Amino acid sequence: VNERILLIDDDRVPIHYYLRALGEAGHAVEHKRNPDEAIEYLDMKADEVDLIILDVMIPSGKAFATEKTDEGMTSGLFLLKKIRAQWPTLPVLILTNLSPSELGGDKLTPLGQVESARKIDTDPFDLVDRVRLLLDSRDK
Amino acid sequence: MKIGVQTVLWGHHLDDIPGALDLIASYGCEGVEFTQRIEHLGGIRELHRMLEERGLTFVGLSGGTLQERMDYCGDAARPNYLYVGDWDDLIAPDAVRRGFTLALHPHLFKRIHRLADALNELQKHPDLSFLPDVAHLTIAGDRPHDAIMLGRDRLAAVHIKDWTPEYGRSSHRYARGFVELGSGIINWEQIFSALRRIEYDGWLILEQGTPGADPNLVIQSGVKWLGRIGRVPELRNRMSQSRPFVSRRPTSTLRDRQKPYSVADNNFLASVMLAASESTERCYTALAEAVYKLVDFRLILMCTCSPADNLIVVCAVFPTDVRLDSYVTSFDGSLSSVALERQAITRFDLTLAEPAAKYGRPNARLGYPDLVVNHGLTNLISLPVLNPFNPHHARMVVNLFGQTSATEIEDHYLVAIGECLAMAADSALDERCSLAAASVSVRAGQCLQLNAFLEELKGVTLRALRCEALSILLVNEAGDRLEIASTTGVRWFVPPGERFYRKGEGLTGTLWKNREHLLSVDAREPERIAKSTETVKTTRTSYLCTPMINAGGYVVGMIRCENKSGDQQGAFHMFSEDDLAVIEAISQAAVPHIEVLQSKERRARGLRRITHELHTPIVAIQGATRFMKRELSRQRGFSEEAFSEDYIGDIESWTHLMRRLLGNANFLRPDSDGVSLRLERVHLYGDLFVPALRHVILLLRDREFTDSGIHVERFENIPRLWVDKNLFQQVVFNLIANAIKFAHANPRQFRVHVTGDAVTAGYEIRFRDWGPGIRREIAETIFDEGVRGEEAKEKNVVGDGLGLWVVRRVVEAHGGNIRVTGCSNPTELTIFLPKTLETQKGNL
Repeated sequence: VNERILLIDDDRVPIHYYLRALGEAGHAVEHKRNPDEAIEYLDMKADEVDLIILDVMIPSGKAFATEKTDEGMTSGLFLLKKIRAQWPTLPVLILTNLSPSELGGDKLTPLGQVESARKIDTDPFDLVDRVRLLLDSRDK
Repeated sequence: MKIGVQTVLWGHHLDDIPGALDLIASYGCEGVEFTQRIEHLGGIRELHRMLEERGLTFVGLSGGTLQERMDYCGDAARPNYLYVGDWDDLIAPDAVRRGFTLALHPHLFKRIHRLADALNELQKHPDLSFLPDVAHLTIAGDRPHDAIMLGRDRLAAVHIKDWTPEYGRSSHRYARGFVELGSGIINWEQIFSALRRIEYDGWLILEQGTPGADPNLVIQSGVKWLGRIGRVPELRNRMSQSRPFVSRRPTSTLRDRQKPYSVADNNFLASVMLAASESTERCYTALAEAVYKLVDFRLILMCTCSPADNLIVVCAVFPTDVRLDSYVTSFDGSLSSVALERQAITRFDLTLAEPAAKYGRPNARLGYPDLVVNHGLTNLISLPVLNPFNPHHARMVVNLFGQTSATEIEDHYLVAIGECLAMAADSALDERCSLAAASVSVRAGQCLQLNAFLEELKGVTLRALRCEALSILLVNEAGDRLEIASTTGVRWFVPPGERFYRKGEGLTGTLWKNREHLLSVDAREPERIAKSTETVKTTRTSYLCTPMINAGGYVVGMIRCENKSGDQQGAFHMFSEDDLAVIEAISQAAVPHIEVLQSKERRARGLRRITHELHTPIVAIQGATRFMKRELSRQRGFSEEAFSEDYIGDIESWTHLMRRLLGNANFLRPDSDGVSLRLERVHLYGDLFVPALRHVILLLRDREFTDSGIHVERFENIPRLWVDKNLFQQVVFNLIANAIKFAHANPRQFRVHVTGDAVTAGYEIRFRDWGPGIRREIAETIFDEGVRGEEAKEKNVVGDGLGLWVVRRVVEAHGGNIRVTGCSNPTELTIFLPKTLETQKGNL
């Protein structure tokens, strides 16, 4: 326990419940609200992170200001691409309101196998369970 | 204000001058501008006498070079002004010294066509007067009322005519857009407001109506329009004295020549008609061949003029085995340019050292000297082929090279040949433009998304223009960048994120800002092209760029083409003005589709964002509810399930209902073309029906039904299947919700039975209810988008006919199908799911 999770999401209120549940489950959670903050944190502490939970619809930040993020609708995918390139061993769980159609294969296929969950199907305790599964499978 | 008439209404020829002047005077007009060449106007004294007899003022004269017009007028009778395209240091000072007024006339495809350039020329040359044309300035992208205000102190006259952009702005076709006053896009309110503000009392010149229209009708409608809008009331009074209709002179024909009409003429006309049906490239060669067979000349060389490059370009040679060292020569100093400037048949004796000396151009030379030597050519006739709809524009020059016999052919015979060639070339071009525009429209009908349409647009343009590289650029929503939307054959210096242009920056940005197109036939030399670093192509031989302008006059994007492909010789190895007309036709056809699709995508994005934002409170409520249940169960020692019947249960039920309604809303988004699945191995009863039944509780309560009316079997014959749990919950919800909505009002009659069976190829799930049933005739269409039965209207059931459509889309995405298997008592809908769903890699 005490695995460190980096949660990247610009929301505050719904995320509050996820943060609380993960905290109660014994995880140390860092909440970053845009790609710039996340990259800055990873640049310093990527070695300490066990899992990244990443929303897709986040502000583009300076990091992806010139990319076609569809006004922020897909900034998270650009961040995922960067994470895969720069910190390839870090496991990532995409936690988003986007449907599978929107998170479609054409966008994710180049990024390899990606774990994902829909927020609306995932209450705080479901997330704790999912995180546990992912961390355990990593340990194996 | 005084109203004058331009004789361009009569076309290239004005054979019945007294008739034309009678007509002009009959409508109360007071002056005349002559545009035909001076040799068609008769003697200046006679012309002046005819004008005086009718009380008409000799306002202006434009046909022929400035020197020719000055010589024609002499000291006898001078018009108010002579048109000039710019200030020519060689002759203009002499004209002023002799007492002529020179009126600068900004004109499309002349050196000065923009207002800023005209004002600059006026500032540099105080002796110039100003003759703005409201239509030309509008087409060029300027505001004519600005011209009136800024040039107020120098106005010689104002040309008034109206224009619509249907034919585009290319040199070959723009003049076909002239229309009756008041029926085009010219902003008359602002123009007349400006004229009133400067208290203008000079000349308004009626110039051109619909191309080919009868001059009588054009003047009549123009004068009526002016009277109707109350600008020129005195004309209305004089209208009562108008004279009877005077018919228009017929177009000259081959019969006009002195010799009898011959079989050779007939063959020529047939060849020309056939040539017009060819592609533009082949058309010109076929026309050259037709001329060659008709007249006794050794060589026919057809040339076009590229105003942007100041070049004369060979577009066809006949016989075709004749090779030229160069197919491109400079406009300045060439013999063809002499004919183009004169806009008249021009004869050259090639044995002379200065063949154009008699036309005041001693330095002009033939651009192909070897040709003369190699083929023993001694004479050349240059025949400018004038645009049938625009006498100011020469479409091309036909050079007829011969020996001594060259001088024997009569001018009017050549003019008739030129008219036939012009119409054939126009006809071929019309065909290309129509086909390209139709292709765009047809393909647009097959595209639901902008990107798909842009790919089709790219294909149509590549086929129509045969270019090596093509870029379609669109202005972004902020309006500050022109961004690459689709491109092919272009190698970029910069990464994708930097492939855009700001307004006014670089060549493309400047064309965007000025709303101008650019045709550079030979793009190897001009610095403005060569300096552009948009691609790494080492040889940019030809360049074509056009703005896509919408109905409001705003630039939506640009289409940019580089390097014509193919093995044709001459001009058609490069882009031509024909290509410019075609790409304009493509652009005009594409713009409305682009705007509709962009608007659709904006709305889709808005809907997408709203549906996502609606998810946020649901996620928050779900999170809060879970924590609340946990806290309360700890405090009270109950299990969490115990709260399902109280207020917390209500909150959960409402949240579930919102989720399901949002689930349907997601399918409504225009961008939700496909259904992507997140497959999980589920048990139909526990994972799909139990949650879905919880989701319909509020619907049941609303009708005072209970869930006891719903019987769902446990599906023990069906194994766990790989389906998208969320979407299939939506399916179950929609089907049961549908049964609830349409059920009879009596709660005791409400019944829904759901059963499932294994069949040979898969599994069937049957939904039965004992509601009002489905009419047999709509059983096939009930799963289509937006279909609602009469029952829905009769029972005041609110909806849009989308629930069953969503069901079908989800079921079909799983490789199954749904159909009506019973229309009443019970109504039965059956879902079939394939056996392959037993394994994750089922055949989806």
